[in-house]
Formats: sequence, structure tokens, C-alpha cells
Amino acid sequence: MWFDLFKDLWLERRRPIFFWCAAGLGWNIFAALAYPAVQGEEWLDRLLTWFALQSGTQKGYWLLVLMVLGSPIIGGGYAFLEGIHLFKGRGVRQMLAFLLAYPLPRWEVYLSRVVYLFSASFLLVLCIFTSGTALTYFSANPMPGGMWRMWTASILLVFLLGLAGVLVGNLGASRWMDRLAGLLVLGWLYLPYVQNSTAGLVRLSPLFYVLGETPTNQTFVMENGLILFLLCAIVGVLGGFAFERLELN
Amino acid sequence: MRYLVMRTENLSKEFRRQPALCGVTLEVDPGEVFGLLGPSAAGKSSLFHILLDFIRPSHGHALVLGMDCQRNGLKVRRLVGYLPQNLSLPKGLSGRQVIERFAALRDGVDLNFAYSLAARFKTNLDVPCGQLCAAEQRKIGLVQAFMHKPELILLDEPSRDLDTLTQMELYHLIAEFRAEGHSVVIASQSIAEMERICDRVAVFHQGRVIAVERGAQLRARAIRKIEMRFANPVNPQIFMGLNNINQLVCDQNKVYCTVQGDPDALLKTASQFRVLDIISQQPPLEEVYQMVYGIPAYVV
Repeated sequence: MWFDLFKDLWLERRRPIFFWCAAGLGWNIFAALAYPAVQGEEWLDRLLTWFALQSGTQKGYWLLVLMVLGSPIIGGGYAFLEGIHLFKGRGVRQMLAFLLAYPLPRWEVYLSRVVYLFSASFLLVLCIFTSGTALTYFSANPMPGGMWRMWTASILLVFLLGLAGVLVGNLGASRWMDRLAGLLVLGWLYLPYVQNSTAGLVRLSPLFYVLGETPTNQTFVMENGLILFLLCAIVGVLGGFAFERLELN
Repeated sequence: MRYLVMRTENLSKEFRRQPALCGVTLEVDPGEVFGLLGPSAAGKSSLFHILLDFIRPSHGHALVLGMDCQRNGLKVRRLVGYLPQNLSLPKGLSGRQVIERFAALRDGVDLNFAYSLAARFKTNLDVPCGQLCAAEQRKIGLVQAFMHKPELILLDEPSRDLDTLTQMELYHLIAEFRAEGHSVVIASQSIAEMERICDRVAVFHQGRVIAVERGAQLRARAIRKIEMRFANPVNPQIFMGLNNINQLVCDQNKVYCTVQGDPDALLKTASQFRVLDIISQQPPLEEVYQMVYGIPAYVV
């Protein structure tokens, strides 16, 4: 049954995912067009240094565009907001209550929504990745195949942010709380990097487990992926527990 | 021990320290149409939500079909039909798809019976739910609540948005189900609806049950505002002698009054004159609460 619920969600929520895919594509095109104008700029070099990316190179620039900004901001933004939307709002709660008036266990409804969120996040990250790769293919410095492994971690990161949204959607009492939670998540991602990319503090950011210690090498440490997976599992279970206790009034 | 389809004992629920239900104790017999009457936020829907395990009570407990609502939530929901107050159907699916989808969630639903219900309510099942008006969505909601012939049906404001003909069809359907031994619990703000279809009615006020009345009792105590227009001016003294008349106002050839219970005496008195027009209206719930239960209107 959960598969039917999953299909219904896709049918109902297809428009936002198209919009966000278009936003991802637009971001990549904008970044490609802006590169000649911004290369060598001091602020760009500082930004690249923050994230331990090779400054002055096109590879470093595209890692910044795709891995540091594109995927977490566009993919993560979508996943976080969609995660909230799946469990919050008058209409959504009414729909959930209507579903749960049937002999459906709550975990089944939760699972269908989480699987939908994962598939939508996957599609969006894939869209950002393929469009970004296609754009770099025409440049002098195409993305190497090793990027794929980093992208797997990036999908996990976006899914983690989506699950954080699910948790907020189940627990959040007001819109202001949602916004505050969004800002906290953003801070969680980037603030540790602003200090010093080589300091141990960066390990607090989930972005570190996508980029690794030397992102420009584009090597991916399996342990990092496992940590992201574990974080997803923990936040997912917490979200499930919150949904199990959720009062649908 | 008497078998009850629904039993609540001292049921209470608070939301952020605001009481939604206070010590509600109710019993519904098999084959009974039971009404929950009250203004909005009186606790009617909260009671349904506890019965369906959407929310957990702060105190007390509730049994549905002999099972604890919280411990046996899935079993209870398998045997109960429910129409929510605010219905939200999947926008992308047609009415037919919704019925098929929800029928699949329950075992042994006769789809032909479901379609026959839809035909009775004159529902167009081929239009996507997102394009349906509130009344059409409500009809689909009613079909899904009745389609598996549940032992207990919970209807929250069932006639809201419905036209008169569909309301009549719904009342017929409820009567048929009652005759077959099914029980129906209806939450409504309409006294007329309660009088018409319920065997017993629990009157809610601020989360408390202030009275449980038989349908006949409710009808006997029903309050109506009557406006009569005569061909010639009438003497108000004639109506003053009637003992169930209140708020009598005479304005030349027009008479306004409130009748509690049977209007027979009023009509017989009025028939001495040539009556041009007569209008009977049910007063708002607030006025009924004030007149019958002595609760000031501003509190309701």
C-alpha cells in the first residue's frame, strides 16, 4: 500500500520538483556564464580557501558551484522545505488524518513519504550533477569520473537535510520556528567552515563528510559516507518517532 | 454486560493547557443514531479524533466496538467508517480512483455497492478531486465512509455544503443503515438535523456534555421563531394566553413570537383569522442554549 501512497505523492507534488530542477539547471548555467567574469577575484579565492578548494582553477570553481553551493543550497533547500511540507500545514494534516482513519499503520504512511522525499532529492541532485557535468564537459577542464562518489555523498547530505525538514514539520509549532530551524541548518552546514577549513571544527558540518579533507582530490572516504548514512538513519528514526506521537487535531 | 459500540468514560483532553474535552462519559448502543450537538470548538471533533487514535486523551478512556481505541487502533479503524469535518482528498486522483484506492485499504469492499452509493448521491466520479467543489468532495467522503458497511460510522458535519436533496438522501441512507443494525454517530451544529435523524443527542458546551436528550425530547423542546401575517390587524391578547409562547410582538397585522415545542395551539388560535403568510425558523444555537440550558449567548 505504501507504494500507492508514494505514487500519489509524486502525482501531487510533481510541480515543485520540476521547478527546483529548473532552478538547479539555471544556477549551473549562471555559474558557467559568470566564470570568465569572476575568475581571479579576491572574494572568490577567499571563498575557495574557506572550503579547502584549489583557488584559481576551474576545477575548484566548479566544486564550489556544485558541491558546496548548488547541491546543499538548491537540493538541500528543496529537501528541507519539502520535508516540512510533507507533514505540516492544515491541508496536509487533514489529508494525513483522513489516511490514518483507515487501517494503516503510521509507520507505513511515514515510510511512503520518506521514500518519496529520497527519490525526489535523488532526482534533483542528479539533475544538478548531470547539467553541471555537461557544462564542464564543454570547458577545458571536464569533471573526472571520481566525482560520482562525491555525488553519492551529496545525495545523502540532501536527504539528511530533507529528514531534518521532516523532523521540523512534525515538531515545529509555527512558521517562525521553521524559519529559525532553516537558519540553524544553514549555520550547521557552513559556519564551521567560516572559521578555518583545516580546524577540527569542520567535522561538525555534514558538508565535511561530502567534501572530505582535500576536496580537490575528489577522493571519497567510505567512513564519511557511513557517517552521513548514520546521521540520516538517526534523524529519520527521530522523525518517525515524532510522527508516531504526532497529534492530528 | 451490555454490548456498546462506543463507550467513553471520563474522557478529557487538553491542548496547550486549554481544555478541549472535560470528563465526557457517553454510551452508544448498537443500531443507534447518536448525535453530538454543539457549536464549533465544543469538543465534538476532538472526541472523534480520540476514537480514531489521532490524538491521545489526557484522562479517561474510550472503547469502540469493545476495543480500546489506543491499544487496538488499527482494528478499530478497520471496523469504523469516518467522514472528517474538513475533507482533503488527493487532488490528482479522480473520484473513482479515490474510492478504489481507499477500498483497497479495507478488506472485502464491494465496489459495486460503493458505486451505487455514488449514484445515489449523484456524484461524478470521473472528475479529478482537485476540480471538484466542496459539496462533490463531501459526497465522495460520504461514499468512502459507508462503502464497507461498517458497524459504526462517525460523521463529522456530514450535511455541510450539501444541497437539500443530497441531505435527504443522506438521511435515508442513515435510516437504512440503522435499520440493518449499524450505529451512526453524527457531530453537527444543526439542531434541525439532530431532531430529524438522531435517537439520542449529547449536547456539548465547552468540552462538556451538558445534557443527553432523546430525539423526541429534543423535538418536544424545539424552539421555533414564528412570523405570521394576517389580512387584518389582530388583538395580541388572544395569543398571550398560550403557555408555550414567548417573545410575543404584534405589529398591526403581523405577529412575531417564539414557540417552544408543539405549535398546535398557536396555529389553532391563528386560524380564527385570515392568515396570509407564516414563516417558521429555527433560532441560532446560541439562543437555544440560552433558552433551554440557561447558558448566556456570549459564552457559547
